[in-house]
Amino acid sequence: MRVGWLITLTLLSMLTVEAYRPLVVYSGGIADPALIFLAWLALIDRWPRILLVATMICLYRSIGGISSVIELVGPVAALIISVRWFRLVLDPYHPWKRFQILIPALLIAFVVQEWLLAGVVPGLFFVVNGCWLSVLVAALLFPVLDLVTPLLRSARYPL
Amino acid sequence: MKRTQSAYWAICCWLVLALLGYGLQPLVSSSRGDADRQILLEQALQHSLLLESENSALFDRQRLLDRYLSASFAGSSFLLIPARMTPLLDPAPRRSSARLDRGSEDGLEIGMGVIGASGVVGKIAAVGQGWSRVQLADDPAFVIPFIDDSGHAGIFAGGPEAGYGQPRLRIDPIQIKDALVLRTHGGGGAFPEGLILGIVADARIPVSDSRILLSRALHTSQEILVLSPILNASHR
Repeated sequence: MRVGWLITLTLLSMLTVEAYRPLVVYSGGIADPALIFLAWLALIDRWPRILLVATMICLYRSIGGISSVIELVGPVAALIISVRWFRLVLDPYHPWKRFQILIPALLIAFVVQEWLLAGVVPGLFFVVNGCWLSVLVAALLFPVLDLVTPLLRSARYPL
Repeated sequence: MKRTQSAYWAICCWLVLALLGYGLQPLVSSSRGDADRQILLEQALQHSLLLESENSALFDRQRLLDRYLSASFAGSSFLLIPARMTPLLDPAPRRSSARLDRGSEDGLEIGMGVIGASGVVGKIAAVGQGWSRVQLADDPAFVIPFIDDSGHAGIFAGGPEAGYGQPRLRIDPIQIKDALVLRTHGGGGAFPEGLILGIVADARIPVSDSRILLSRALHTSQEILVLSPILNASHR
């Protein structure tokens, strides 16, 4: 498993989260570039690589933070499981249909995150707000991620 | 080879976009900070809190101690432990926290209330030797009871945006309206009654969508006081 570039991309996605933090907070955490990268990976990549990225994201957010383990792992696990479940019924390679996998999966992760964090289900305002922002971020990020697939050296990505 | 070159170019573009985001952050935060300060100023004028907020910027540690020690609530049930708070970006984007320069050696414990010159700052969330982490009042998991001017109670929760909170629940029939000053209820044991929590900046229906503006000094480096319950102090 060659993971050099995978780690680089994960770090880059976490750097992007910090850079666009006000936007991520405004979206309620749905338009989180690190989670969108993880969802993109979960669409077609292998489990060990997905778990590696998920672990890196959780570890980074746990060090020096006040979040508990369940608050970090819960949304990430919900996102991965949702993506893997939705890809059973929708083509993850299709340029548009993968958005139909991504957005519901991000929403489920968001609801799990808010429930674990604040104990409430988020209001419609934040769901709508978060949805269009996550579509915007994913639309910017997915073409870039599609271009970097040769560096990931996996047969799962179509040439 | 061409595809690999495109990949490198894509990564470079991504990095540039991330750095651009870092560059734009001060602009976004300063314009929004100015707007927040303007709202707070207007609300403060209406409630004769202007003098209080002006003075609050000048408080040093001793004046902060003097202020709260002279108040009737402070001396009775809490020990005041002064500390220096440094704002810190929590790695989890939804969380809001800060760091203190004092920790378990001074008797700080998880759950203790933290107050500043402008009122409630947060609660201690983690403690170690010589350091502790504060869960700030705009953190979505920060929940305390509040009262309005008439003594009607409700439940306050932090977030969803930085620097704001929201009334999660009304225990009594409170009418949430703009410029309403909310104070701590005293229940829960972390804070005494009557400390300023925030001002309603945007009253909405349903009430839980209303926005409560918290202290503008919440995310700035400042002297704070940790409230240690007297019961704990007597055990030490």
